[in-house]
Amino acid sequence: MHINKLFLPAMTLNLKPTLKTEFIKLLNYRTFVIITLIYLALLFLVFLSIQGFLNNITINSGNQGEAPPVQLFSVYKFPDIWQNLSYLAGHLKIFPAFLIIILITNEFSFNTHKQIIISGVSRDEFILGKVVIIAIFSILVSLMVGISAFFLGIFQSEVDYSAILSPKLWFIAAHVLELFTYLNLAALFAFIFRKTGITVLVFLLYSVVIERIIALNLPENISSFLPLQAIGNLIPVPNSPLMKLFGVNFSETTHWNDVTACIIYNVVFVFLMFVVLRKRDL
Amino acid sequence: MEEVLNIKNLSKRYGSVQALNNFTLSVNKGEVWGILGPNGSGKTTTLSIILGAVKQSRGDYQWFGNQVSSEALQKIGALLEHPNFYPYLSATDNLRIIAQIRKADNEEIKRVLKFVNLYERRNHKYQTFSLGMKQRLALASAMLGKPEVLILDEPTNGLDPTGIAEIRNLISQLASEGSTVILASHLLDEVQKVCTHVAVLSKGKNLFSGNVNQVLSDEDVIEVGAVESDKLAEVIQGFPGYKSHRINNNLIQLSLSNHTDTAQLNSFLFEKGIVCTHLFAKKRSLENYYLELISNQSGAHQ
Repeated sequence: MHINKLFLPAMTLNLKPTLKTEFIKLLNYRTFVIITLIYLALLFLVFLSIQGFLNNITINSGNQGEAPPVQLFSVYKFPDIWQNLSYLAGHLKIFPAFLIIILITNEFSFNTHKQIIISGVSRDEFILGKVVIIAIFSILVSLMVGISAFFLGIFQSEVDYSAILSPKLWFIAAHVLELFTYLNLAALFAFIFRKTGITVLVFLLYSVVIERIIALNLPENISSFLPLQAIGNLIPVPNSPLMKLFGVNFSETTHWNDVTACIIYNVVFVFLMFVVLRKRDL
Repeated sequence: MEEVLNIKNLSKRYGSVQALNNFTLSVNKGEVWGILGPNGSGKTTTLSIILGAVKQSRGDYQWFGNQVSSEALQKIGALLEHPNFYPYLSATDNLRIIAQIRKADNEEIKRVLKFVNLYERRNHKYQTFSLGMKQRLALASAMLGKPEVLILDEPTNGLDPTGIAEIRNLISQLASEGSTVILASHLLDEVQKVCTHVAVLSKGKNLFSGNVNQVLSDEDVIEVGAVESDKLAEVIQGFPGYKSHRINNNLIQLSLSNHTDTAQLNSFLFEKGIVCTHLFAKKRSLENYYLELISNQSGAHQ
């Protein structure tokens, strides 16, 4: 068969019109705008309430009547806040994943992918348009996380200004990669299954059950490179005093092998989207 | 003449169904082709393949002498099956999306919206539109970017008589401006009125393709009726120049391979002892020809 046709992207890619069409679709799609705003509000709410939640755990951590074994600590202290909040944000990424699934499966249920492609957008451009939107979305959400962290940090009573610029700022970039990889996985599922309900179901099933079963049957040094594991490992669990209580000590930085794994996964996911859309009838 | 589209031995199989079987067609610039056939005869399959939406099982096709590409598709305006738009976007926003792809400006969006009579409703959401309005919006989007070729699959679906007449005028107008049009329809009248060429498909097979005038002027149809219609049907096959016949409401539609005047036929039948109760020479319509082709084919299969 045409190997070149299947494995190399088309020679002439012009993403500009495709992206403009994506912006028209998204900005006028009220459901998308509202869910995005709710997601961002939810993120901020979680950032605000986490301190009280942790205080509660800390106070109740010892035996009744004894002094708690851990001192109260602030989540919002620079530079740890960069890691704390981006780690926290990672736990809410299922919401934007649903959003991306809806955006892509919409095209198939309205049959608009067909109209767009027969009007003169190539299949590859159609996919790359979605991937660029996912990239922009990941960057904007991470910026929001960074800005929230900055303001929550400087509004504390004691601020160590010299600690604002720290290597831990890289966790915001790690959050971009985390979200981008995760949303591309969701997009791949959407391109394969095409129906909103089925895609959401399969994606949940994979996240909650399937990957865990696979992980249990693999040695740990391999299972930690499964997609969701690698994505989750990008931002390690913060080493708060509370964590030290459990006697665990997590890494303080993002590891290059997790970054490499995620970059490879992104290439694989986009490649599989190409294969799926090029091979099938519209 | 400049060849716009060349289809060679195109076939498509869906599981056990042969949707299209060895279809070959050459379309030149400025021609208006009607692809005729009953539902499920392979019209939409053919159009989907040449628009790159469905992959053929065998055969090949070329647009403007090349393989299909997104650049070629930008020069082809298409309306395929049902109108497909974003329900939550207005008519204008839906057209803005297509206009981005086909490099048309806002003025042109206004022009096509006015042309299909949707300008007043341009800011209404697509999901509030009636079927006829949706179909007209699809036509408007097919016209965006002044395409060199227009592909219309059942363009008058869901339209009222005025709308149908407007589409006809539109097609004639586009053709007179040099556009090439390929129109799939099961409405024969429509094809006869606007097309210069016709291809008849049935069960995926191409039964005929050629000039419409050729079909229409080739031969005449004579409608004959008699009391003893069974005997008439038998005797009539011995008439010189007999080609085929079809029985319709006790009347026999007779196709002859040469021009015959009705008096000749009348005296022939009289000699055989049949008295006509009805004798009528009809100008052959596309409908007659089409039904003849289709019934011949299903006859051959039985």
